[in-house]
Amino acid sequence: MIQFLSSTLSRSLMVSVTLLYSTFLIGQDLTVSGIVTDQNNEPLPGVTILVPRTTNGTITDFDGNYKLKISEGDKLEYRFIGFLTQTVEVNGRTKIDVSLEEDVVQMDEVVVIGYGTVDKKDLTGSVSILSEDDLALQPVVRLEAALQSKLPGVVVNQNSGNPGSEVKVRIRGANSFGAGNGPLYVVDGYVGADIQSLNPDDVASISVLKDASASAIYGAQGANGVIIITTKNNKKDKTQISVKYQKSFSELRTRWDLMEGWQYMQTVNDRLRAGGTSEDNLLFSRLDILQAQSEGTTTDWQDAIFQTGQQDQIQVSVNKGSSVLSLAAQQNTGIITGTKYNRYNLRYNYSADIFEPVKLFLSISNAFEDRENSNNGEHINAIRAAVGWPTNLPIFDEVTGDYTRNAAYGPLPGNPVFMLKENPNRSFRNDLITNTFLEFKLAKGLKFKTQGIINLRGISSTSFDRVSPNIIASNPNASSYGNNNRMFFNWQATQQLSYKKTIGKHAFDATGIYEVRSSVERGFNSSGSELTTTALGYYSAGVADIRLNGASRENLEIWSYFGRVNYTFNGKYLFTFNARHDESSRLGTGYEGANFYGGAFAYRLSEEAFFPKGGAIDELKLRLSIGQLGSQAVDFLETIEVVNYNKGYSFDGSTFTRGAAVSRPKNERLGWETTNQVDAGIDLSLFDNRVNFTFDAFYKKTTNLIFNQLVPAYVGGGSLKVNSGEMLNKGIELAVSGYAIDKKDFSIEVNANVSVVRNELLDILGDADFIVSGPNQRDNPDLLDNTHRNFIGRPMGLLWGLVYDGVYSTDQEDLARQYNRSPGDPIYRDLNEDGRIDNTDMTVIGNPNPDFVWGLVTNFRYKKFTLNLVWNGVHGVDVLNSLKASTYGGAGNRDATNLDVLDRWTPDNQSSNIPGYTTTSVLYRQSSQWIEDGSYVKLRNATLKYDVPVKKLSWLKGVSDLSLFLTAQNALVFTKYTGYDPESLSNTGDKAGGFDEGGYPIPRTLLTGINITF
Amino acid sequence: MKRLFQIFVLTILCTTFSCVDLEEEPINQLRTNYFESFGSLRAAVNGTYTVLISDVWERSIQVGSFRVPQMGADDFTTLTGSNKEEWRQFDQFYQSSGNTRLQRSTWALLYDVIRQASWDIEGAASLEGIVNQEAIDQTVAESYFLRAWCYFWLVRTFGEVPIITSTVVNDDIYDVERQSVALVYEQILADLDFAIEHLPEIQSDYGYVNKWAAKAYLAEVHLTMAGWPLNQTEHYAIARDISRDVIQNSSYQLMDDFASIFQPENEGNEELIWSISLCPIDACGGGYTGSWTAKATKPAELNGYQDMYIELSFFERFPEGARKDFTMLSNLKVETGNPADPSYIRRVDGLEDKEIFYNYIDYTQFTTGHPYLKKYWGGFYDTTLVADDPAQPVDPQSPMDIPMMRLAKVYLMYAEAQARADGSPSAESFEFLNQIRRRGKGYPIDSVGTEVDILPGTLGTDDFVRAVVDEKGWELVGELNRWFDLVRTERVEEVNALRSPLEPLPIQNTITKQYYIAPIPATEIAINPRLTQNPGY
Repeated sequence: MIQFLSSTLSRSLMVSVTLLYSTFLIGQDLTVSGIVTDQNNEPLPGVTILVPRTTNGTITDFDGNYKLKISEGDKLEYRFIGFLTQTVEVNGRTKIDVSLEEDVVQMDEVVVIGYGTVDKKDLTGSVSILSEDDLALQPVVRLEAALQSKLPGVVVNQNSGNPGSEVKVRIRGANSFGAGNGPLYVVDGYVGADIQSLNPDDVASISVLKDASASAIYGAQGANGVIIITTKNNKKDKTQISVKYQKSFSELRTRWDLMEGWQYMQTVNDRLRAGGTSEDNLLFSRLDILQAQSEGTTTDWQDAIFQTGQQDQIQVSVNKGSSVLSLAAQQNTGIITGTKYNRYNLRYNYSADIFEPVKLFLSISNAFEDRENSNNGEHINAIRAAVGWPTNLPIFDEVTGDYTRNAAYGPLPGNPVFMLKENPNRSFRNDLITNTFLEFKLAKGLKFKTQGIINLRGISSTSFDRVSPNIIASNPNASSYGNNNRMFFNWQATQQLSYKKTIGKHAFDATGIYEVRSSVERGFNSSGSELTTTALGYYSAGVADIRLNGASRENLEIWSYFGRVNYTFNGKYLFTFNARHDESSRLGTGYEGANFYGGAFAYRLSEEAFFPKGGAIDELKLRLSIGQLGSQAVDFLETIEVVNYNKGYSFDGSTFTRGAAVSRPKNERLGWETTNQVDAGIDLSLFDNRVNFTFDAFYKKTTNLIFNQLVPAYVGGGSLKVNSGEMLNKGIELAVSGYAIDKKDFSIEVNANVSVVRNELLDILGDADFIVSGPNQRDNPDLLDNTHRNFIGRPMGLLWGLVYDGVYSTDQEDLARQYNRSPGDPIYRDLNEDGRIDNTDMTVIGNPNPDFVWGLVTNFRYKKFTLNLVWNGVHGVDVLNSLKASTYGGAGNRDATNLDVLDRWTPDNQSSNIPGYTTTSVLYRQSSQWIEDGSYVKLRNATLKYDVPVKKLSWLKGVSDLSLFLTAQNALVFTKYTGYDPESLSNTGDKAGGFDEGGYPIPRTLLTGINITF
Repeated sequence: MKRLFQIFVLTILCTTFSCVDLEEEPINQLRTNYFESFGSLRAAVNGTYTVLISDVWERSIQVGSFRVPQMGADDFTTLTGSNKEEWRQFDQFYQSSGNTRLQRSTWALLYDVIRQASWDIEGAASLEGIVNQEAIDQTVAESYFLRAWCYFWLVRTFGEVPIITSTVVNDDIYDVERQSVALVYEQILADLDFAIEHLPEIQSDYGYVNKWAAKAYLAEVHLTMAGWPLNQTEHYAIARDISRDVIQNSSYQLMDDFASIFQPENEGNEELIWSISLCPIDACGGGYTGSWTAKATKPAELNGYQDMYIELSFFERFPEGARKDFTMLSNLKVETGNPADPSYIRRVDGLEDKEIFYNYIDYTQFTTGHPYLKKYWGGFYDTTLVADDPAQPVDPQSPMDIPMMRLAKVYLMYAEAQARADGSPSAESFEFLNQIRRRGKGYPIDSVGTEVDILPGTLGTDDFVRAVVDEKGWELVGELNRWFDLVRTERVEEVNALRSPLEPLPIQNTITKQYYIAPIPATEIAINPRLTQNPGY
């Protein structure tokens, strides 16, 4: 239904657009006059007005007025240094007023900050910015991916290669142990917006607020940094239609080299033989193996689950009058069978001075997403199975005709193809946002802005689990379905009063805001089994004998008032002060409120009289800021005990009477995590602003960390959340950008950055020295421990396991015997020297937190060609390659599939570091044997763009711009990591990173596209 | 006009949302405003019963886990391998404070019921003056009963335990210590007093506790206080008087036939004073509403979990008769054996006109070599084994209620308390014992003079009490009684000495009084180190 609506709407809008375009008129000579102003409606003298491709032109007078004789059908081009050139269709008008926009690449660039803008030169905080030009050359499905490599202090990690899946963004490290560490997104003033379905082509600029003074204006939500996104508005009075089409193909970048069927069979036999099985009782006969070898009986399970992914995307945007209409559709298939992601975006932005003192902004956006098989857990299981399954088994069993089952995989319906094809899930998500504001100029310098945002979101997820083939035989009804529908109603109301005044050398700018946000989520779900038929798939509720229904409702209300004062003295000394008060419904009665403060000072040293003028240095600014922020780490119903209705009790033995029970104890005094940050920075511009340096150092401490404290069973058990513990992040960031060469036909632009963050857990819950995290290594029931530990005084999420010291050689037989091992068995270090190997011998075996990360963006332009290269590097990370361990066999009756195992230890191959087959062998997955260097350098994006010289091609009449582009993504990856990809690991939590059980690999993609503007 | 309209709409949009209440609105209700009517109190009390039977996989009362701390008695043993470690610990006397089933199914379950009962009691207090006080007291009296019942269970299992009688939050939950056994009994008696004062004699359905249930338990509490560890023998007389009150003044009667007590169609019969009431799946739907005791006590041959089955020596000592035949599974019918084997019985199936061969196998030929308890199978079982299809589907659940207190037990409690209080057993006490013995053999209850009768005057007090306690062992086997009787009368060592040498699970430690109480769960001490551990653990 939603999809139908969305497509109908897009179609009707397209029709309207066509109609608009066809109304252009043709006429005779006339005189045009008007006034040219800047964005603040101040008249601009000296603006050049030209009729393109003619010598006809004039210049505005002191009051910005102009007058020019032209031919009907001409266009007018307005040019002024420091401003963007604007072209206007005359369309028979005789009076054309034009407002020119300042050119953002100029030094006097305006930066969007929280609840306002500021000239870049007046910026006091640490803010990184991206403009639409920075985004244009990197086609991405999700906006976050375009932030990668480009901004210092912003680390972006693509968790999964599944199109449209979550991208992890961390600004200056992770602050929180128990809660989310993702930044706060603000889209056109909508605080806490969800940007997963935002169309990257709609984005005009991105500001990343990193330090405490810049983000303090967001108070209790700003601790993880703030990303402010502004969507595109029309360049005033410009009429333009752009169409972009692109198509891409993606493929798996690397593969595991695995044994062929006969090699696998032989290896299994070798293992059995070493374990004492007689020749007659081996699993495979010599004949079987020879036959498999001669016939080449091998199933390449990787081929069976991976495919070539594709993307088709079309983007149409129409600029007319004060409006921008943008429509986009994209369809993606992933590189794993069955994974699909389609998205349809619509955005209409209207921005105008509707009459003299009143400015109106209206934005309506709708995004519809359709995902198939987005369940990441299923992909991980399928990938694990694909590299671990016996390669001699076929996909389908010859006898039953159904999927092959493998006993070694136990109760799992583990056939990788079965997993992907027979457990489908699909989800629809529609996000409709209307965002409006009115800005009134009440007096000179005094403005009032009232903004209202309504966001309706619906998510409908369905799943169907067809029961595994072996169970179908005994119980055909054991398949199950699940439906889950959730509706969100979110709104925000912001009232903002701002005042600007300059008295002599003193400039003031004050803003006061009152804001209310509310979010309500309602859900209904149904799941069931015992289906009388499996033909209805997702929609089996009507044929399920067992059905479970559930309903839910969650709400959140936050209200806040806050303010900011900027004071500048003599253009040299800049001060900012922020204060905010937040109250949230999530916190206990009497503990709802919190205050947050931030302050900053900047000193423009280069403005001082003693500073040498005309030298290499154009601008030198020193910045210092300090502030306090909160983190919304408290979940719904975390602070109040509630009453749950339950099924009740059967007092008559045949019916149930409803009951009510009180929930487990809660902590009414639970509060927010609080982050204090100090930042010192230097901004430096050199050589006529051609080269810019920005350097920042920060120290960020989070206190009142939320931990789960265990509750004794005598009061109900479970756990409650308490504020305890501290975390420190400190680091430095350096960014350099500029033009190495800037000639008319040839330029090289370079933008490089490097960031270093050091994380340290200063204190945790109670008297504990450490906390475990990460999954239990399920392959080792005899050595069960979590994969990660978090110690006081060390970074979060260290990898934990045994130390692997190679293989016992024949000479070490006596030593091996002490541990009930034999030559050929792996040596694990007996750290506590108690004569046995168990989890008390585990230690820290790796640190998945990077030493440093860097990004490098270069733009080469030669005449009509542009080459954009985006590189990034992550260095000094350890990864536990658990996927590799599973290809070595050794646990859970599984056998080796990895070709390396053919070179295992044998009495004749003593030098091998790969354990051999013995009667006593135990291979632990959680050991340093599997630790690898996960550092990498990637060429994420390489785009070659060619601008067709349309002006020279008469047959392209009406086309103002035409470009063709070719992009390669992840074309080059330099890493020592032997798995699919060190970036897309299966486990990506901040306290359980660097652990690879088989994440969805990031593909290599080749993309081609065309961009036409009329 | 159009502009004005736009402005109008926008102004409305932007300003109407600017007021907000700062409150979370859960779909469930906040506890602070939950109690507002009689109905809310009734639902809360119902919810307290619900805790007893919910969460079958983890802990609830109708699953085998609840029986773990009573495995030290001589009636049940368990599997050597498999996932039965927790049962084995108690059966073989190497109990560990890390026993998770002990923690979840006894400690955590009972304290959860206590917390809910305390919440009901707090809620009832907040309804004072709003709702008819008599109705409040009568309803919340059930919660007082359930709280007393849970503490009685806790004090007998663990000895000293924390006494918590309110729903606390924040850091106060760690500010708790264990209290003496005497103090726990004081708490139990106080709650039972309230329950007895306010509970009605008859409830609308048999699943609710009534005054007689509270009195019968009061009698058992006094009987227990008279024995180990308090040994306050003055309580025998109180136990005698209260149990006599129940026998004389309540409308409960012994069923004529032992088997009829455990038939699903007889649920809530006139012998049952209080049962854990369960519901069949077809009436109440899924969600594990039935009894898992059936599954826990079934052999693998019948798809059971065989958490616990009968000890060999106990089976041999168990008096023959109708009661034993009903209570114990000692053979299985096996179909389609070897037709050449002359021991198989040939029968022609009339419908399909085919030959079926069957035979019976003795329990010694079961995989475990032990007889099984079948009183909870509620008729929902088939002891026929189809050899070709061992995976025959057997419903894991049975809707059978689990009797907690029945009149036969009160008869025997009276007999013991009378003999101890008065110094010698009366003729009436002998008659009560004999009535139970007669029914066990299969004779009518009042057929005085059968060969199972013990003639009045033939046993001294100690021997009489021993006979009574052992009779309870047979009569109430699997009804969560035997272990506590053995502890109270200090006979754990004695009966375990009778354990058959053929048992695959030998006792691993010399049994001392240490083992009379279970270890405090280690997880609780880890969370609150102020809790002490019982000696020896």
